[in-house]
Amino acid sequence: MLYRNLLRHQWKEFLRNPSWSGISVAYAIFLVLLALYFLLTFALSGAFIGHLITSQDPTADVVRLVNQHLLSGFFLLFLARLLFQNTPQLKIGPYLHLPISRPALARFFSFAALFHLHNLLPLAFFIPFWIVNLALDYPAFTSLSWLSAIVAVLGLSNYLVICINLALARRALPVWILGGGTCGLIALDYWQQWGYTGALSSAVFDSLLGPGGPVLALALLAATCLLFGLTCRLLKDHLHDEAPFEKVSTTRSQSLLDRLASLGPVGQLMALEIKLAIRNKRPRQILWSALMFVPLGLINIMLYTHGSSDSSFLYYLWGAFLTTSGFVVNYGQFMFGWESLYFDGHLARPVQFRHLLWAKLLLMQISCPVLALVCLPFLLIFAPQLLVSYSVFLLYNIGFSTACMLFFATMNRKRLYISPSSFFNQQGTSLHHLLAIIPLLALPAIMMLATDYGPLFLAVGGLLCWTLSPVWVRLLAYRLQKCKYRMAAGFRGST
Amino acid sequence: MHLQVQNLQKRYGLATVLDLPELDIDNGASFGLVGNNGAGKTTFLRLVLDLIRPSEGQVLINGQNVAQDDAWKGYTGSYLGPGFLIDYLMPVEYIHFVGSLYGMSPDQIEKKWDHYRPFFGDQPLNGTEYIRNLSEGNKKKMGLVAALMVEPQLLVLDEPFTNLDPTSQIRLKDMLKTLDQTTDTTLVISSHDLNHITEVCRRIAVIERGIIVRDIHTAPDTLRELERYFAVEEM
Repeated sequence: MLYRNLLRHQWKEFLRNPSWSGISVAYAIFLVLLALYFLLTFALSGAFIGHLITSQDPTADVVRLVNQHLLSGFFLLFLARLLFQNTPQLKIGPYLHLPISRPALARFFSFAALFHLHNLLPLAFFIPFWIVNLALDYPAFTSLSWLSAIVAVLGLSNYLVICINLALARRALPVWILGGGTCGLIALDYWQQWGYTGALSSAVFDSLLGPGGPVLALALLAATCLLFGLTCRLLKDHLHDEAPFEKVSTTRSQSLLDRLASLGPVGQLMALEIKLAIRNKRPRQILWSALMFVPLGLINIMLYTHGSSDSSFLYYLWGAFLTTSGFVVNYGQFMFGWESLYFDGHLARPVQFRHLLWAKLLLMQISCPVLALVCLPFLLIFAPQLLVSYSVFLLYNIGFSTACMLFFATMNRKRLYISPSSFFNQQGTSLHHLLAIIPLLALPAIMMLATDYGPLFLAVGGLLCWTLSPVWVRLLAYRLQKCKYRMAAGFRGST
Repeated sequence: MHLQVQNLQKRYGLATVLDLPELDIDNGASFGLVGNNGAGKTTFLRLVLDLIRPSEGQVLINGQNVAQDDAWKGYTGSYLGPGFLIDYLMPVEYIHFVGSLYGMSPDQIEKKWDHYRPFFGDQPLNGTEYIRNLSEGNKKKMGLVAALMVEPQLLVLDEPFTNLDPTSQIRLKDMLKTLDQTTDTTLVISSHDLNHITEVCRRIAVIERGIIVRDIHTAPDTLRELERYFAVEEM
């Protein structure tokens, strides 16, 4: 009865989550379609990956080939969990004063943590894969051992992250150093084609197909159960915690921000925006994802350098654009919305829109060369021939993308809650956030395809837009003056 | 600051939530606004601060329409609620941010901060936590201090006594009374606390369903008069 009620509450919490509030019907439909697309992509990939592999190499053993990459895949999933997965403590809070046994609460919420997208999406791949490639071709006991082991590893990873988060809530640095280091070693292993990761992965998962498979699967399931027990215990022990003491920023970064703030009203508003970005969970995670655009862009550039098909232009366009526009695209489009909780304060005080816009525009403009510097060494090593056209996109992003995204930011009308995680958090997101990237990509695509002088036009256009920054700021300040009431009403949550 | 309201109306759809044909608040006046929940107090204060657009009419500060000229912001201190606080800043950072917007030097800000520190009692507030981690009462105090420290010529406060402990309520009342008696600052304060508002304000308006139904100069029996007005028959 207790668990049924708790389960009902969890379902209601999911349906009535603030993430779903404040989104338009069109955007909700788009999200549902997107979710279905992802689910189908995972399921179809799982079902047909074997067919794809054998069409390239008819002699390949599909299961063993996939086994070879499972370890690195699970490790990446583990890192993603570390970044985004929350502990269930907050969910238990409202039940603590009620006559419910705390171990029962810990058990329920630890178990409920399994039903997370981190676990469900991989299963959407593995179950069809198992049906097509193992269930029919291997003895029932062997194939079930393999599937049980996959489920067990997902569970292990799930509970290990919760345990780490509970035990090391405020000492995350060593975990990140270890995780980052391991990630670097795996990448090096793949790049140098040493094959240690693949060999280790094969050793573990291939043995599931042998006579010792059921024992190993049982051992993994037992380890998951043990870790579940440990999670319940840790969770129960952490229910008495006071609100965690929030450590304030270090003096060094603080003094840098103070120096920036002393440069005048624009510097001060820039420092405020930086503090906003680094001191709140949602924008901070968005910043991280902006950094992740760099490797994503580099991968696209590498695909372009190795590709000869028609799609290679898209790789080039996407790669050259993404590497320097991560901050602009990810963070910039939500500007003003980030400040929705105190926008009234800005309006009632002598904050000039001109200064506010300059602060945001300068931050976005500075972010482009900073990101360019981050990926310059990789570019020099892997695709030095693209340096010129890469610089063209840098100028384009500094001049055009920033101003364009700032314009889109003035369309934000929804309150953004900046404390919750950004992972699968659609609260305050609108369709224009997804559409904003289209003009940014369409313009260079048209220019590049229409004329041989496309890169030249892009570079000159970018520079021209950059020199016209004062004009954009003035125009946008005029626009803000016009729409400030609607913005403030939306941010306040009223009409 | 001379505050004038001319034919001010705020409508949401067909509902008129505020209708003030005329209201004059003289320079140096202390004006209190009392009324039940939903009477239109906060709407009026938002219109004064140009946070919402009037459906009709205008608010003038020293003859200038607040919606057309931003000059009033430079000498107006205000706190209408948590929407004015930047909660990821530390108290000192917030005070410095607000002070600098009003052209105060860091030294001036520090002096003002020292001056208002006793308002927080024995709370350390030594820059080791963000505003979001303060208690509701201390958050309120942060907003009030930020509004008071800029030496405003017009002070606009919404429910300043709510969430404050008794000591802080008395301190705030004394600070507002001193401000009223020793400076030319115009005070516009809304409150549910009839005791405090009658002590602080020399003029009190009762607002009901968006209309000012009484406008009285505070006298010794004002509190009793207001209590009689708001008293309802037993259910």
